[in-house]
Amino acid sequence: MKSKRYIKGFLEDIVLHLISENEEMYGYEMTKKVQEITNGVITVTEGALYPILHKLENENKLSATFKNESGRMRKYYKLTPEGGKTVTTGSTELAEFFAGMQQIFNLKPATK
Amino acid sequence: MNASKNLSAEELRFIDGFCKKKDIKYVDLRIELVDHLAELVLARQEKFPNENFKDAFYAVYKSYGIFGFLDVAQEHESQMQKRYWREIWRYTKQWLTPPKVVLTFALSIGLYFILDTFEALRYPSLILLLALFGLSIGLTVMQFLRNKKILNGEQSILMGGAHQGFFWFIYVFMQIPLRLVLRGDELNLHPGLLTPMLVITIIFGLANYFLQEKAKTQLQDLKAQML
Repeated sequence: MKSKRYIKGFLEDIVLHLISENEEMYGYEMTKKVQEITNGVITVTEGALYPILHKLENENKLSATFKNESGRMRKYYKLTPEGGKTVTTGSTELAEFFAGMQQIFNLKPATK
Repeated sequence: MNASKNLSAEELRFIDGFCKKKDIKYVDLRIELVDHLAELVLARQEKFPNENFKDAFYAVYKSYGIFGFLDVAQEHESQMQKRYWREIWRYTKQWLTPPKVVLTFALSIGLYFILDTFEALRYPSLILLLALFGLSIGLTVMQFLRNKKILNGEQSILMGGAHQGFFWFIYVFMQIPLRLVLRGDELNLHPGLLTPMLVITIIFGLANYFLQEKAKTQLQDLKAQML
């Protein structure tokens, strides 16, 4: 499925939501998690993910720390209080948006 | 997430060097990409156990397409600029607390009246403005060079944003006092122009100073983690 077309507008919300559920996360972990949850229907590329992470960090919605994991440096992202507020309002807005989409397209769950 | 496995130090250095050659010059961004690529290589080696490190790495890199890391690097560059101005604004906002605003406003009014009353002080105040610019540039260069030494010549995103944004500001903002000095036109040395320029230069110079200090702390933390 060509999820790329749809994912752009939601990537910020996806990232914030994932981190809010996992305390702290690093880039690769997020791409794997999205693939895992959606059974590969949605894929997040590095080219799209890192600019969003840096943007959210700049906007003070995420804070980052570097850790040394057995000789390899890794950057972990955590939600800031401001990011937490965005997650809360974003979830409500998304629910309303999807309810609207549901009404327009009369969507049915995908079958394999 | 391949938690138990890792690439050797030599293999990690190879990926790091490769990213450096691909113009990922900021150490903090490179750390992220090296970690990501290392995970992808490990995942590929799990799938194709007979593949050696370099073959696995080039196969992973090929999946980035003909532009490679260009997208990430370019996006990052534009984020860096925005970050600089956001950080400057953040420091400026810290300054904008009620007592400091009142004090700044009172000093600005005082300065305005002094320059308005004593015309002879206008030209020296323009020279003072240029001296403050010079001081700010000198300080920024010194901080930048000092920060570069922390990680043996490596630069952080904050440092990159700071020196690009700062010199852009200086280039644009300095045009006004420089033109005034070159023209020597007393009529243009109006206190209503000189006062805000002096105040903005001082606030901006201080914000820039604190940003470079933040970059220093970030690099020192990185260094501590790398040891």
